[in-house]
Amino acid sequence: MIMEKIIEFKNVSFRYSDDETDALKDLNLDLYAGQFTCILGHNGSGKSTMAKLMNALLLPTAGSVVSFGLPTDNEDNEIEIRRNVGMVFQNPDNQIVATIVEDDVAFGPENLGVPRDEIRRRVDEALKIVDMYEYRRHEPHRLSGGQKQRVAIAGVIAMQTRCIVLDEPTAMLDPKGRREVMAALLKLKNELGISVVLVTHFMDEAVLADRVVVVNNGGICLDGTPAQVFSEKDVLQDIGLTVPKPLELVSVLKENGVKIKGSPLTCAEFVECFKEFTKNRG
Amino acid sequence: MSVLSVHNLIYGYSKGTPFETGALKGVSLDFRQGEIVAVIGHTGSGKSTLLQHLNGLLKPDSGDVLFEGESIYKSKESLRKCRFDVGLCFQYPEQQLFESSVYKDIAFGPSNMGLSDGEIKRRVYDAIKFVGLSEDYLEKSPFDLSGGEKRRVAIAGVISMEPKVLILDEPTAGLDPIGKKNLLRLIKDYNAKTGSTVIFVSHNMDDVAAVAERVIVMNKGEAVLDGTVSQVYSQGELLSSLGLDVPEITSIFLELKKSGFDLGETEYTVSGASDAILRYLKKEGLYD
Amino acid sequence: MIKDITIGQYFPGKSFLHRLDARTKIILTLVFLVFVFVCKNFWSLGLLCFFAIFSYLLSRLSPKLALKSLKPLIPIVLLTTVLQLYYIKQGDIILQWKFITITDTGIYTAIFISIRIFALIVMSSLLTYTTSPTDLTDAIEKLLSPLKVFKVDVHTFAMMMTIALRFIPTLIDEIDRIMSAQKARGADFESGSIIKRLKALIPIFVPLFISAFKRAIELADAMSCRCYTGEGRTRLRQMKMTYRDIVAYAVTALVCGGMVALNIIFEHLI
Repeated sequence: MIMEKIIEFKNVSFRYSDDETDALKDLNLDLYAGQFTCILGHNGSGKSTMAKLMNALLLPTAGSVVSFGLPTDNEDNEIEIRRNVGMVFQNPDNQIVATIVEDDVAFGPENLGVPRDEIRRRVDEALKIVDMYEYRRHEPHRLSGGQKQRVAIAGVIAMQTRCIVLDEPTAMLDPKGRREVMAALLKLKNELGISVVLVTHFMDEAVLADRVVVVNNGGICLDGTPAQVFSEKDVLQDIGLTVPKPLELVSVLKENGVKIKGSPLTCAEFVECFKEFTKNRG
Repeated sequence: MSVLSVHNLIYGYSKGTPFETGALKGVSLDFRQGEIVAVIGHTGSGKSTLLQHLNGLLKPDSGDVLFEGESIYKSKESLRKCRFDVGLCFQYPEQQLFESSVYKDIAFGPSNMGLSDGEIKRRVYDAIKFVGLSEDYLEKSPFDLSGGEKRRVAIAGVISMEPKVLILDEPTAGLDPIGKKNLLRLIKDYNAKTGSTVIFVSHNMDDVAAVAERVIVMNKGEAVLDGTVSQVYSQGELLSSLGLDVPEITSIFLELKKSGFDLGETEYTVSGASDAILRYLKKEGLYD
Repeated sequence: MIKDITIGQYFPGKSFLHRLDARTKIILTLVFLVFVFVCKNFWSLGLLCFFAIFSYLLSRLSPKLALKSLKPLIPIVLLTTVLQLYYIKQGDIILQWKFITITDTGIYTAIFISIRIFALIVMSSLLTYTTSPTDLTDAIEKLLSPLKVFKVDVHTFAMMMTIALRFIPTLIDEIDRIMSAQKARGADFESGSIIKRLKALIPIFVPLFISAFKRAIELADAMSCRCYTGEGRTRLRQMKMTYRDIVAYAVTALVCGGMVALNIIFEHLI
């Protein structure tokens, strides 16, 4: 099956100002439609810069970024690119424009000149998808962090973008908020077929992705399925990232000579592996 | 010996009314000299409200806060002294930086204490060293630093008051794994070197497991659990029912136990868990 | 506390007043304000007060709210009362003591003016209590749109207002937090000379401005990501005049007419 390329980085370098070092160095990456891609890296690795290059908020210093076939450095493409690639930021407070939830969700479609009845339909639908419909008449500042982020996601859904890029959307949330946001993102990918690009430093979020791209020092250092990427324990530890705990536990057991098989990334997977192991031995 | 204690704190709550976010309904706790205590609870459970009572920023509707046996609300002076004895570092403390240089910002607390210039200088130099930044940073503007560095400077601004109790509200929020690890080590070091009591709030159960000796769980304005890390984490189901996470290793353990594997005490670290599993396998004859 | 400010607050509801078109409410409130100044005697003022109380009941808001909105005015009302009592010398003398002379006209005028002020405030706070900030800004944008002829950028102005309203609660929370954080470092906002107190504000305002700028930059990014250009926008919210608005205009017109009549019939204050 040939997968549709949605965003292409071609030899991209980027620096914020002339006297600084490159935030990204000669980076090449293709992202594909319908996938949940996670860009993983520590602070300062260049991962947020990559996110902002995807919808022309930043333009590459060298090389080019092509979003849905349109080069981002052509100013005429800007609106069209942003129609296709929506974005959610880290701080939930700084991206909500309106004083009422549904007005905020309507903001994007309003800007696109969508007819009123259609906006109404899209807003209701988007709020239902992120499970915020009953809060549609609430004031955003009274919502929890997780709820605010889901409103922001609904705002992107209502624009009917084909891809949503999220720049550390859960960094300021509590565990409950993080779970809510992740559930909403999986729903987006599975039910609406929207491509999701999640920039994060949380391992447990990366585990849920189809593809994990690990960024370090402005370049790509690992790229593959979560299972492939997290099997590179040494590489990850070298750049200051950790391995999911279930996987770490299995590798410690293996080091001690226990012949347990598999590389579980979640608790449930570990329990399965362990049951399998004891059954075979017993 | 108890250095700080709260007695039957009630704040923003009256009997028979529904629980309000951030209220306290009768909290009594003792904090002993030199211990590291983690306070956990979901947003709105009252943990931040509790912290702001510990240095007298909030005044309870009823109940009392005692520092070294004396009520901090006794007089204006005792309240002011308490601000310095009990150092409180808010969430995202880097947002409170305001001075033109790192030196001046760290010196803000000590100069409010009315210390001599020499003493202030000593404390600033000690504090910057403590948070792991070199003295070169002192002349820089705090706004030119990276996020993680700003956080450390802000914490140095509290440490420089040399509080006998250091309180941190979600000190690792927003930091990446390296930043988190460094900060947790800093908390442990501070406690080890100064013998001060450290109280911190965290959502991250692995962070808690890494540094805390004692864990207090807040829910709806009450301290519902109070014990050692393993005592509290073994109550995995109760924690989940309160909307809290348990460390991944603990949930693996609880899950395995549910499936009939007798692994003994609930573990929460990888090394503890692997030891327990190896013991189990030996006992069952599955490991040689 | 700083969080207790109620001016400009909105209390959601489904009453007749809540459902009126925001433009109607603004226009009628302005008309009411004008007529409060036009009324000349207790009869006509009584009619307007009756109308104000009636409107309040119609909003189904708790009467406590009305009292709350009046509370900050008490000093102003007291001051004007004292001034009226002191300066008005006409009419029958009721009390004379040293240089103070209080006449019945003075008392009546003082009461009259106090009621006037209360009526003004009750009505204008009723406008913000029953109209969401969004509706309010939309209505202002619509009402001011004729100014576009004179190249006034009404839309941008309305957008600025919306954003300001959206961020007021956020910034108030922020001030609260920064103040607590600095207090925890021993900052003292409550004692010392005025100069010292003003200086004590620096540790609050520097972080506040820095964060406000950061928020502004991020918000601008977020808005442009959502294709905001300020042009060619459609709106979700439609303002529609309904039978309710017609009823409201009619009733107000009747009240105003009645008031003018009362003004003419009873020439004197009492």
